[in-house]
Amino acid sequence: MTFLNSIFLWGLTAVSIPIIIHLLSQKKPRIIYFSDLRFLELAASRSVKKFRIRQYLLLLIRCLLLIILTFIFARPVIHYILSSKNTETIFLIDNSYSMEYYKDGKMRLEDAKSVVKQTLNLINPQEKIAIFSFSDIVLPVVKNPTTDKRLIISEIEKINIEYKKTDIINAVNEVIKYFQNDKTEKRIIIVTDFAKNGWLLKKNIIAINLPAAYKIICIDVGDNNSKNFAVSNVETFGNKITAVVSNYSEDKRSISTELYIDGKKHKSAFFEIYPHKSSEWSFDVKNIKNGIHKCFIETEPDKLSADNKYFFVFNYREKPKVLLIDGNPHFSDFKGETFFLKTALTNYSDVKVINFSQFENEETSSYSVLFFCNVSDFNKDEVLLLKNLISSGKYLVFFPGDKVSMEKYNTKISFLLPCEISSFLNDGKLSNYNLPEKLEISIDGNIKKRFLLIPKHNAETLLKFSDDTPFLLKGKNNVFVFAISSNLSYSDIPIRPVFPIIIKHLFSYFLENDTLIKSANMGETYQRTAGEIIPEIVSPDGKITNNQNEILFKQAGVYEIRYKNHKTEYANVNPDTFGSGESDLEKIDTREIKKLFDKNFLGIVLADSHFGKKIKKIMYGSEITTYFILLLLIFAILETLLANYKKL
Amino acid sequence: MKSYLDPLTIAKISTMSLKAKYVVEGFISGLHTSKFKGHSLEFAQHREYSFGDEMKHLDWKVFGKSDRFFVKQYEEETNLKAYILLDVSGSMGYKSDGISKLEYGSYIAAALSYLMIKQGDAVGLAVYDTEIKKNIPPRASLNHLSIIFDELSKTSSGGETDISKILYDFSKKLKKRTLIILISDLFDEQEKLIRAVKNYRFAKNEIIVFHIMDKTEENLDINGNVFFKSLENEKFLITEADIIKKEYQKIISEFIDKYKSEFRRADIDYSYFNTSSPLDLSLTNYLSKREKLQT
Repeated sequence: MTFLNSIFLWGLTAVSIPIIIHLLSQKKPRIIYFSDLRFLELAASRSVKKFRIRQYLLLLIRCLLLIILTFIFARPVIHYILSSKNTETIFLIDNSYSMEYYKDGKMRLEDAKSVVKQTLNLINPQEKIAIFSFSDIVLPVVKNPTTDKRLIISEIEKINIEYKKTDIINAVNEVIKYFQNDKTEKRIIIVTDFAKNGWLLKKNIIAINLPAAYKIICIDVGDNNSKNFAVSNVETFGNKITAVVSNYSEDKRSISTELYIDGKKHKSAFFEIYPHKSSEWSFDVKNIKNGIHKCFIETEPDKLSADNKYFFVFNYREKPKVLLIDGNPHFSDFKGETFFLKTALTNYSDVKVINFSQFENEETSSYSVLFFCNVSDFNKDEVLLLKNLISSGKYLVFFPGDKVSMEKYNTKISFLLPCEISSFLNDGKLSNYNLPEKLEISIDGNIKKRFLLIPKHNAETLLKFSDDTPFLLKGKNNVFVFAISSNLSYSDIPIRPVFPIIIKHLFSYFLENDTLIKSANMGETYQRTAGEIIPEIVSPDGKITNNQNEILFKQAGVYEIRYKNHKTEYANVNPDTFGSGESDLEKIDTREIKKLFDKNFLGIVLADSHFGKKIKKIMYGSEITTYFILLLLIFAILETLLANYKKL
Repeated sequence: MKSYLDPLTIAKISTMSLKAKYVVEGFISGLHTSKFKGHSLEFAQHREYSFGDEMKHLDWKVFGKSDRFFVKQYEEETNLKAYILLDVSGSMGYKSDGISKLEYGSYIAAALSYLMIKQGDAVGLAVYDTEIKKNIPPRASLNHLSIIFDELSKTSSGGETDISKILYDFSKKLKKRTLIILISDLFDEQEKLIRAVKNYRFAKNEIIVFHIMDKTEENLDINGNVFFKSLENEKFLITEADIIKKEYQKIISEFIDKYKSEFRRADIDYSYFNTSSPLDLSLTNYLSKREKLQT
């Protein structure tokens, strides 16, 4: 407890007054001769003890009255954090893109700044202050603690939104690391919107690194019922665009979404999305030229605009025509060689299935890709046809099977195959070699039988088994050979979720997609690789930079990186929306925060209309003069009652 | 003598008759009734005539020989034999204002002596504290009254009290039924004292208790911090009189009430006197009560 007017504490000396009066009132007794002292002694023994207790109680109450009166003038303050005059305050201001959310016409970041300024006004002038902004990186604003509040305020104004995610644990740890050699008592004030995603519960890290002497105060500038929707992700393949639109509100929302290609509105859609659910917008694009297009998908405006627009490069390819040739047709589709393949290919191509007997008569020139599934043998004309197909730039894919004669393949069409089909092997397991890492799909498949493919010198192994033997080989002539059959006779891979991924992976070779398209988050930096000539970089606003080793992706949009060899690389730069990113504004349960800082003092304050009072209470305690006035009244009544005990 | 026989007091007492409640052993004449009425009387002694003696008791033969008036006295002639036991312990010397308890008691003793002798009763006086300091045996003559008065005027207070012991000792000396008049502040061990007083009733004696107290002893009208010193011994007490007043009054009230109730239960006459109340009024009230008892 401290006092606002401590000078009045001198009034405590007045406590001696009733004591002195009490002592002085002990007059010298007058002598009276009395007949018999027995009754006096008896009366005294019965009364004096009570009287003395009452008297001492009265003395105590009178002393207390004076103490309370002194305290009332001195204005006592009770403290929740015991802090010394040397306490340094470190502000951590969240400037992740969720802080761009508009609340009552004001950006959260502005609220955060105003809250910090309000708090600054309450901080004692002798206390030093440092300021850092944070998202998933920590940036110093005023890194050396200072008492110069004017400087601090001007620096705070310079804080802008970083289009990154929040990582509070990282921010706290970085600050602790920064001040690890500074033994001054610290008070960390975290100003954030309490969005759940910012509190990735790295409890161990906190438990190890946070000194117990650190006091943590979290100021909540968030909103309990945030409404937000976002374009979470966009993927393109061939002529197809797949966008994910998410609703992060607490109620069902109708969201209109538009696709812009090369600045022109191309398509729009309308979704009804349930709370905390996503909707996939997948469609084939028509009527545009093959090649690179700069696009974005945009939803209708909401309170958080950063995630409403998703920029991407669309390397458009018309849907190829694919011919599936079944070498062992069955009455039942499931047992057929092409059923699962056709299902997997339908998304990316126009597929036609024929029996091998129809092959010679089919107009093959109109197809880009031909799949030969369990075709046992090829006659001379057929071999010639295959040769012509290759020379005309078609893609040939061979799925072996039980009808396939290894000998005939290795002799008759050996000249076009990228491998020798060696022998049968039992069992096997697909490895994740070359498969997209992001996909958390089980690659376990029950492989009973497979061919051992021995690659030729010009062959490229695209996929492998876990024993390093090839699963899929590619020759320079665009001939592809699988080691398993396309039906379920050799393995159950065709019915596994990995199968469409394998086919998509294969398909990317058919699309001649040699243009390099990268994805980057806003705030990341492009860095030239060592030895590379400085490329020319065209930012989304058309500004050309051609003399810098590195460039910061400041804007959302498509950056073009033009190399001297006329090769162009594209970078889709968007806010970090991976996962739910900052778009999901659902707040963390404060109990979780308490668990996180269980060894430290933790104060949580909501930035509402009573914020000033509450933060003052946590930092410097609250004035309790009113309670002392009440106490004074109570003791005054008690004193009156005790003093007039006899009369009553 | 004058100081003890205040004319107003005497005048008031003279109008009433002190009648013995119980018939004592011996011959009774005058106002007193006796179960031995008509029994022959035995000569005891000659006593010089004094004012008030009846002429019929004059011994004319002795007058013829000595030319002086003598009255014949018989054992039976003493209607009532009474002993006044006056407490002269230190506590009796206490007075807040006016007269002390001892003075007050002496007045009562003198008045009663006078009254009883006037009625032909024999009165003796014993003054005591822890022991009997002076014992004047009962006589019925007016001369004897002056002896009693002399002794009463000489008495002074001092020393501690042991009333119960005195009563026990004294009872052993009594051979005939006697009226004992106990004048005291009764500041003694209460139970013991009550037992001692009751002992007289069991011995077929009559005992009248005059309990005398000062008004300050009763009400403790003293304020402030007081160093109380005992009048009987070296004991002292320092206390705030105001604080203990209420409790003290309660204790004293219980003390007096206990005597009243215990003596009433044992058919013992008990009268409480406060030295602030008029002496004559106290006596008159008492005698009236006796008279009522008689009728």
